[in-house]
Amino acid sequence: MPAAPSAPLGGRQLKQRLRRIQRRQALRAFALLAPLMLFLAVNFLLPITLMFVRSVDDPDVRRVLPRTLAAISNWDGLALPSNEAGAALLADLGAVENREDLSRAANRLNYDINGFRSLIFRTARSAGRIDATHAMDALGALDQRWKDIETWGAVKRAAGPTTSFYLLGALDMKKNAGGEIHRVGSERAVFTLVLARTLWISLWVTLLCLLLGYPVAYLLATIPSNVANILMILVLLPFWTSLLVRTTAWVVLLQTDGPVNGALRWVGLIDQPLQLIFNRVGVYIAITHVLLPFMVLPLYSVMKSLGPTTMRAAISLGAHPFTAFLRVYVPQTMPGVFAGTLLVFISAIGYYITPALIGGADDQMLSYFIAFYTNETTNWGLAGALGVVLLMMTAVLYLIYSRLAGGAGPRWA
Amino acid sequence: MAGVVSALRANALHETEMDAAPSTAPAFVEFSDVCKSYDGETLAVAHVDLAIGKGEFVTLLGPSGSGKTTSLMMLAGFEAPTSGDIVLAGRSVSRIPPHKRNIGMVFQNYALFPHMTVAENIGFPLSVRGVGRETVRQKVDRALALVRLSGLGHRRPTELSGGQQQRVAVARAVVFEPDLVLMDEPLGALDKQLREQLQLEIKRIHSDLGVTIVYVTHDQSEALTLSDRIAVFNGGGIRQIGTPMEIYERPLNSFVAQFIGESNRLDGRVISRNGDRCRVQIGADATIEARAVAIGDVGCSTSVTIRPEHVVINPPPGGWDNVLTGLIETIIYHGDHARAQLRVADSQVFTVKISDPRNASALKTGETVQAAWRASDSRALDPDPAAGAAP
Ligand SMILES: Nc1ncnc2c1ncn2[C@@H]1O[C@H](COP(=O)(O)OP(=O)(O)OP(=O)(O)O)[C@@H](O)[C@H]1O
Ligand SMILES: [Mg+2]
Repeated sequence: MPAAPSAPLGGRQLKQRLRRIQRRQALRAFALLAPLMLFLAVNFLLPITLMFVRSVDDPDVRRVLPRTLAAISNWDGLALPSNEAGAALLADLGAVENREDLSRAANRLNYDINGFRSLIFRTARSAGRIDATHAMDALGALDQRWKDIETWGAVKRAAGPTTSFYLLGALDMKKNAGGEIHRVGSERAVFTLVLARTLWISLWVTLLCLLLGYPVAYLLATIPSNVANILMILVLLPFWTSLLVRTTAWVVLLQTDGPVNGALRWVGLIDQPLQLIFNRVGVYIAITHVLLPFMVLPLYSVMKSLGPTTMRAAISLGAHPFTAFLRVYVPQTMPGVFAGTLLVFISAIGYYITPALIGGADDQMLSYFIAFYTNETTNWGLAGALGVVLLMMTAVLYLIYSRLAGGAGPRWA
Repeated sequence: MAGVVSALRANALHETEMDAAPSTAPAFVEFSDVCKSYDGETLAVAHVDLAIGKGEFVTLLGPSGSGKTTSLMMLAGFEAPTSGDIVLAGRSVSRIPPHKRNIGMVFQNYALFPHMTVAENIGFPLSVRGVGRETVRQKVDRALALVRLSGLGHRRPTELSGGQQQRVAVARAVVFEPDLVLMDEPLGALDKQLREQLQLEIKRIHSDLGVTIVYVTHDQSEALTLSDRIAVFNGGGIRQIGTPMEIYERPLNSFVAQFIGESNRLDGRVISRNGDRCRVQIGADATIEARAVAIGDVGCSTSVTIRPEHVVINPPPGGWDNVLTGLIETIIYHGDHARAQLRVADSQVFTVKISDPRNASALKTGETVQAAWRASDSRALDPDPAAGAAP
């Protein structure tokens, strides 16, 4: 734009020009952001949305048993449904053409009540031979379970198109035929236990990382930088090898006749080899090792910016070095502590491979079950619901945490 | 500075060339032959002897890297002397850990605690001493009033200006009534006006509280304004200790003469000595007379220092002990005065201050002029140790 001092701009013209410049800047910013936005939308928002959808979507039974569901839509769940419902069921099952659909619906009902799958196939096979006028009695005669209110309750619960079945299930809860929510029996209540275990393991890993990482970060921040650089490489070493390699390395190290036990025995600290693997100890060791850099790096970056003068000032003002450390140094590192613990805790909550390879049956975390339901039983509804629970828990903890952290908390914006 | 100089003129007549030790009272802080080396090769502080009386305001003044901070850190306890001893209130500090020395310290970069409010910062030295909450509050209020920051106690240090932060640092260093306050270039980061204002406040606090202050600066005018005595550092050692007047009027070596204020320095050789006067040969064919402050025997080399304001250009004849012919190189106008730079006696640089700049307009570069001064205004210093003759 040529400079034209001879033609001063009118107020309106100036505004227009300014707006044009701003528009161009906004466009530029958008162009720069667009690839990342697209990437996030495809790889982050889409999967999460699908996970949410899966956790409440319930189309399978609807497709196969439309008449049955219509017949029991007003059923109160207190007594067995009327004969009409039985007749509708027989009609539906008799009319199924696609075995695949039937199989899917049977699976869905089987998630609710074990053995429902075989019940459906068995009933479907006999459907053509049963007289519809006394359908309920005939069904009861065919299989006792059709006389159970809860069997019909399960059918009604699967009515769709959306359901709370999976989300309740992820919290070990269930609706009965009457629509009341109750906790499932303790023999089937696995997920709250797993959830608690996941939190517990993550909490311990976070504490261990903080206890191990804080002194390391302090050392790194206070020694001459040439030595610090070498030590920093050691801290970052875990990042250089794949997670799988590191985890299997721990298996080798920690096994009963592995080097760790060997060394302990050689030193004479133990007589019998310690069980360090396929139990909780191994899980703590391996996850802590993997996540330690996430604690050290934020702490280090905060500590590096502090310098020795505030500590010196505190000591010269009469504080014992230990008091000065606690009252002056540590509070100034709190942003690093909050950032580090948050990173480690949230990473730990989602851990999967390490406990799967190093932990025992009682050390598996929530992600293991998500993977299990996704890959093994293809119960994607429950996998999605568990994912939603994990996500919600993380979000709630983050909110509480950032509230607690107040001004010292990490500022992502 | 001109005012100070003329006021000192009378004093200069009956000077003694001795370090004026504050004498009578026993020293409150005493460095004896203190050395410090960081790398085992060079001495950051070399053979420092320094005695500071109770209630004194002593400034360590010197160029960058001359060992001022190191000396202060040894006194505060954050560095240990490599050799020698420091005594504080009659006790050798080597056995007192830093937090028990009862020293208030003000750092160049304030070193306020960012996570505490101003009041908590100032109350910190009290609370670590177990002082009760109510007493802390009262003392903090009083300290805030002392530095004229009443009402800002609830703010965070980041919500204050640089000058206000520095005042908080001062309040924090004096609130627990320490025996000794150390200040390491506390005003270094501030602009000139604020610096002068805070200098006055520090001076006022010193006289109000009667506390002993050791102050570090490399700003000579700050040192002259504030101090009871100044220790001039160079190369890790003290070059001279004395009151501002002594340091300015009676420098004992050409480093001090040139570092404090401004001095011309003419290098030459002693050719005769007569009581407290001597005659020095400078260049091939010029001799001048000067006070024999610190010189060796006849034949030794020496440096003669003359302040530019004591030199007159093209004086009315008669009554001048020294007159040199010089060639004007440059004339620089400074508003209230002008400066002429001459080459005299085998092209040694020589500056003259012309107090009325209107007189300078008569002078032209390249012109030959006469520069004259009294022998009593010039000092022959720096006996050459190589000549093997000590004064
Ligand atoms: N921690 C240290 N390690 C090694 N050498 C140091 C250290 N601190 C200071 N020195 C060296 O000691 C000498 C004196 O330093 P000191 O900090 O005492 O100077 P200073 O007079 O305070 O200078 P300034 O006015 O620049 O602050 C310098 O040569 C410096 O390089
Ligand atoms: Mg310094």
